[in-house]
Amino acid sequence: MRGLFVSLLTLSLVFTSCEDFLEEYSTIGLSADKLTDINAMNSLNAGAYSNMRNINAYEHMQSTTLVRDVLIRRSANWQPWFTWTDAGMPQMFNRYTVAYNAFNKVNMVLNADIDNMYGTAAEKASAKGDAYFLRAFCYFHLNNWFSNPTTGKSVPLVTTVMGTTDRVTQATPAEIMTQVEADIEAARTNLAISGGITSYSAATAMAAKIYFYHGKYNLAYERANEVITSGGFALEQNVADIYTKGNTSAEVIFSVITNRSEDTFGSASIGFNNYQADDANGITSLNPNGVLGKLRAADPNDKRFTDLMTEKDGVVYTDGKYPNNNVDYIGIRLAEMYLTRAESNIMVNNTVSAQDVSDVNAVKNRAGASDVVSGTPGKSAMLEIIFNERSKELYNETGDRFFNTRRLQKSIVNESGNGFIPFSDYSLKLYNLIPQSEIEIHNLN
Amino acid sequence: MKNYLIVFLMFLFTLQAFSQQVKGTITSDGDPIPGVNIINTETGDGTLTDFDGNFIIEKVSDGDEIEFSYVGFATQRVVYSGQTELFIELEESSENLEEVIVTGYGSQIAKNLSSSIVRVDGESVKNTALGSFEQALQGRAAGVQVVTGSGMSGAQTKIRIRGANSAVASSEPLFVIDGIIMEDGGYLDRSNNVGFMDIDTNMLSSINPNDIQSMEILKDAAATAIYGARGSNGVILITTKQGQAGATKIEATFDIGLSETTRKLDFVNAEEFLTLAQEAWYNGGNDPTKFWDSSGVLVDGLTKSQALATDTDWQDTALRTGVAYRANISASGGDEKTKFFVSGNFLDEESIFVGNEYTRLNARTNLTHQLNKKVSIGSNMNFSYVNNSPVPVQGGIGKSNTNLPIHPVYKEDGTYFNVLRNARAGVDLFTTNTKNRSFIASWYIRYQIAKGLDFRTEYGLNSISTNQKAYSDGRLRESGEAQASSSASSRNSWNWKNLLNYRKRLGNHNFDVLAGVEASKSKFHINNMKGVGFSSSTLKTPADAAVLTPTFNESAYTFLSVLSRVNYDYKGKYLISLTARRDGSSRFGKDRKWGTFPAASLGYNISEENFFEPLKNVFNFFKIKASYGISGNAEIGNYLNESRYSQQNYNLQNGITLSNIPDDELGWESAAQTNFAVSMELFDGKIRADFDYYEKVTSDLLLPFPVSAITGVNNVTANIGELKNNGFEVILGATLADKDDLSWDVELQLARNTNEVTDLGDNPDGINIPGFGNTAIYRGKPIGIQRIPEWGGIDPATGEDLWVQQSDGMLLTTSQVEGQFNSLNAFFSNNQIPFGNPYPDFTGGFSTDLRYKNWSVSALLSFAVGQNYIASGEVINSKYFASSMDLTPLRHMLGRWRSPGDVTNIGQLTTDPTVWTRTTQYVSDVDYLRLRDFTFTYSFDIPEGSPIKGLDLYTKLTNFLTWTNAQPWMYDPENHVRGGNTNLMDKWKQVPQAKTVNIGLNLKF
Repeated sequence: MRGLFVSLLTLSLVFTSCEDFLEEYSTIGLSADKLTDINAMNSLNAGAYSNMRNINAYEHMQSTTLVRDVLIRRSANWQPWFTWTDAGMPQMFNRYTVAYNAFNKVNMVLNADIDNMYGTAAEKASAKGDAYFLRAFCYFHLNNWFSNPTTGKSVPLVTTVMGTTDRVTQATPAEIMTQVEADIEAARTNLAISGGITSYSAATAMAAKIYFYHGKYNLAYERANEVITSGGFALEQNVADIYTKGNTSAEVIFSVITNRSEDTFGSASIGFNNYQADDANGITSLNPNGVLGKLRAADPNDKRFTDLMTEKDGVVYTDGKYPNNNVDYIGIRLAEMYLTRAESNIMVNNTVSAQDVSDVNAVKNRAGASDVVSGTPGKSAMLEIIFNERSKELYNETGDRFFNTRRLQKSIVNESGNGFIPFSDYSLKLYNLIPQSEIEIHNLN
Repeated sequence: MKNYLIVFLMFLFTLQAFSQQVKGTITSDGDPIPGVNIINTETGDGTLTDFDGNFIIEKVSDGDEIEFSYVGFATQRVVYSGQTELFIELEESSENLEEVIVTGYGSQIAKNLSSSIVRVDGESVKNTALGSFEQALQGRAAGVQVVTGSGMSGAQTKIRIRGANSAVASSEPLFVIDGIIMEDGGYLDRSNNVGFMDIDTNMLSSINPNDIQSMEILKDAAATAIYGARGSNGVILITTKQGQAGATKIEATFDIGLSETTRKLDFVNAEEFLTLAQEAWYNGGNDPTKFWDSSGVLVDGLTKSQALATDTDWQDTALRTGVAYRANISASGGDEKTKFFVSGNFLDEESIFVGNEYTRLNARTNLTHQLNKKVSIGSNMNFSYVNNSPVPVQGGIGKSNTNLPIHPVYKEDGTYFNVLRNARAGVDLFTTNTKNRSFIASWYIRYQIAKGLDFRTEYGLNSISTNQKAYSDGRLRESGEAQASSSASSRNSWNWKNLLNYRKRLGNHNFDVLAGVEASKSKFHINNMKGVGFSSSTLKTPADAAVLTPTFNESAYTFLSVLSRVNYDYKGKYLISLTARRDGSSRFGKDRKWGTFPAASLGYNISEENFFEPLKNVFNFFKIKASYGISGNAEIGNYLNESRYSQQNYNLQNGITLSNIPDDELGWESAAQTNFAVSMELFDGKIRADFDYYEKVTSDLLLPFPVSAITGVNNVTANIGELKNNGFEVILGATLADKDDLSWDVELQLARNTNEVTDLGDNPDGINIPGFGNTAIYRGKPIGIQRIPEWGGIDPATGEDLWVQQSDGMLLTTSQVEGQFNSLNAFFSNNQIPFGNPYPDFTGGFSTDLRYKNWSVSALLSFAVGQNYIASGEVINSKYFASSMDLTPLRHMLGRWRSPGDVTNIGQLTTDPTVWTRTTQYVSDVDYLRLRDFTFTYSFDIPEGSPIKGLDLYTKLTNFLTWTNAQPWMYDPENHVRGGNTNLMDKWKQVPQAKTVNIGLNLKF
């Protein structure tokens, strides 16, 4: 008996002194050491694209309110991010932090040894292409929102996976632009082999947009032209269809897809809440004194106004692009490519061609506009036409209204609607502030 | 590890001495007492008396001291000097000093205890009408703060022993039942619920209160260090009843109880509502003649004349008088070799919430058997079945103000009026049910290796399985589609303890040495199925749904421990206890897998000294104690030490996102506690007093530490902060009468605790915890306060709110703020202050037990003073009810500002939009004194020879009277908030508590 107990005791000591007993790891979900195959790379990319819903959620709303296309009708109980001071604009919710959360994932992909993973060349290329595209897309937007014109500094350029003790400095806008262009070309190269979440055309269209805003009009023309002539896309006959069909529309080249089962938050729900044609629920309504309001007054039967706006009790609501909270966030579509190709062509050749007029008219005709361009106007007249056309076509959609107004150094209607704020007054102030916590951690300025 | 083997081997070589056999009989008032514990304190040999009180003890030598002890009797010691037979007369004792205190892995006589442990007798939880046994600790153990969840059956409890010790990790004490660590909290994974609910069923409620022999609360580090990395929140040891040798005793109790809410919220009635609403409508610049047509009070087809004829109190649609039936039966007995305790318990309850039903069945078997002189075996087994159908709180009673008093519950056609905002529809159309089966058991073998040296191996099992179903009718959901879920989950834990215990007396030196190893593992897994869209409203299981979403989760953790304790006393005068435990856990980071938790305590029974003799007329007992030690809190969650990715899908593609960056240094929170105590008895034990002073510093406080977004996450969890709790506890007891037909005991328990965050690492002055509300952790403030804008009252000139501008202390009206800062929110974001105190300054209770002849009365008053509460839902809804005209305000709004010069705390009524930000306006004091328990018992005289040995009739009042300054928007001053310590002041919607009246019958055979 005693022997039994002594051996039991010894056994228990041996057993319980076994260190392996304390090695207990989760069987569910991935940990960093398991990110070693193409599937994991694709999952990282999908996670990053899911972040895009958040990154772009307020894009249209901030843009449209900054240029005063709409007026705030009702306090949304939010920070007044649409007003600004000498110190810049308040933090735009969590766009900055979510973008870096996405960079963490795509940088993980782009720094992984994909070439030596098991998989076909096509699988490897699509994983890389998706990651490059997202990095280009997000840095392009961050650079546009966060570049401080006074200090000449933009956001930190992070292309590797960072730890908690790593510190960064801010890059210049030019450095970010170089990276964005390199990334979008790398995306094109890889997506040409095989598309992933994003297609080769989307990357090419994004390249056109990037070069257009970077002032590289010859490249912008080339890329836009490639997308248009590829024959893969066609303008919707009915403007409202673009927004109800979303990513399935033949006109849409890139969109961030909403799926209510995955995430109830995103551009669609913000757009739906913001522009609702209901004075109790909607937050904004059309500013009759703004650029868009005046364009509507000039051509009230344009379908972009009749089909996409609602008038009630003398108030006009810009509700048509977000008919419900389950629509996609439309990033780039064919109409934008037409207008980009036309303007780039004019800038490169310093003159207006028949193709430029037909590009603009393609967009106008589809909308049933009464001011179709006839003949071949002069350069500055044509550029003014294109500016108005971009405003009518892309309002409430992406950051384009604000970016384009600033690119062309146009004035902004002031809040009371009786005057204008010139470019020189707003250009040094209209940029987002990097979150204070990031400034403190990295000692940024 | 080697050291323990050496100690063990040394024990084996203990020498045996020459000796002889002694026989004897033990009696009390001439009756033999079976089962008396007899121990030769010199050799450690022991035995028990048989049925006739006889015993034989072997190998006794001259000069050996033999100790006779039995629960409820004064221990006697005899020094052996050659007698062949001993006749011992034991005297009954009410003295607490001889009480055996369970200490965790052992026990000790109260008098020789040098650590801080409070014992609560099982009698005080017997037949309790409270939802779970631990709720009965309120007011009965100084330093133990108990907050009961709600009047919902199976509601959870929040317990803080000597304050809140943690921020994001649990601050709940460790519950140990018969040596097995209990899982606490709720049965379910909250992520699994169909709707927004806080109706989880408390796992501790599966324990039958009538099975409990005693509860010991380990408070200081000297007591808790034996539980090492899991002890710092305090430990509650539950010991269940064991059989005693002798005639079999059977006891049966039948009980019925009625319950009601302790109080209701004070909402306006229909007439008052219309007064306020029309005034707000007018103040908002609207045309008074358009009130009925345009304000929005008429919804869902309601006409003005119908509205004028309606006056609904929505709370009444979700509350009712509850009823509960209890039956308990137990049998215990045995002989000197085998003892048993068997019990069964049944509870069927319909709580004060409409729709809530709860059934509990319990079966317990506790057995011990002496195989031979060396070996004994034993087992404690409890099976319980809990079938609970809770009802939504937020979606039920919480909707009491989301329709108006001028709105009917049903429309004329019998359908629900305004169904999405209808409290009754919320209760009726949402059903949920959980069935929990839990089996908690332990088995042990004890072997006497040598004189005084015992080896005990014990295997414990805690196995809980839960099935949950929920169904939400399509009418309750904006999409109109019904949703159902069904889940099966299980928690399985085992632990294996191997303990060596050596007791030795060398002259006046007494040693009690414990060494052991313990391993434990706990696993959880859940399968859940959620379905949306049904082809008929009669289909309610996910299998019939159009879209099915399955989820699965599992996790596990392990602990490995080495423990030791040495208790030493010299003549029962000088007491020393040294404890050390070394714990390793899978939860800790790879560079910090193991931690050591030492503690020491000293006690000095001054009253045993000769020089104390002159004082003994007054002080029959006087002890001073001091202790210092370190224990830990390992309730930091599983897998925080791994780099983790969580699911984040994109367009139905598998997506992941970084969710946790591991800290290799991640470990337990460590609490160093110093305790000084004085314990005394005066006038032969008629007056008893205990004073404890403590200081407890939790370092390595686990906090979310904000990191740069470039890492991919916004914060990491790391051991960075420091938190201090200090305070004192007083227990004063007195026996006012102690005669055969009259006895009267009274006791006061009082505790004061202050909680302060002393360090936050590299963080600035405060950390704002991400999530719901404005919870913050600030250096120099208690943990879990709010960071909120400061409200400055109502401007008597304009009736507008005043706000304090923090830069200069200026008071600005709302319109001034909006003029200068564009919006209230812009101002608020730069003008917040850390505010409030979620912890009471004082807690305690006063109890009295009076017995006169066949009558007995016992009462417990409990209290808590000095805590703040920040009201949310109902008050914010009241303030801004007119912005949407679809909320019922509370009656205090009648005191609103109406014309310049009015001095009031309630502003002018307006139709301005709601500002959701919580401000200091909503913070109020909550103090209470409540009659927690009042029991009146009559014991019938039973004629000799009757088969019945006892018959008691009792009535019990629970929470029956409450005196409080709690504001009228609180259902009850007991403010229970789910979760950790970071959101303590704040709850969106309040939940009612129950007061009950029970009548019961207790039979003994």
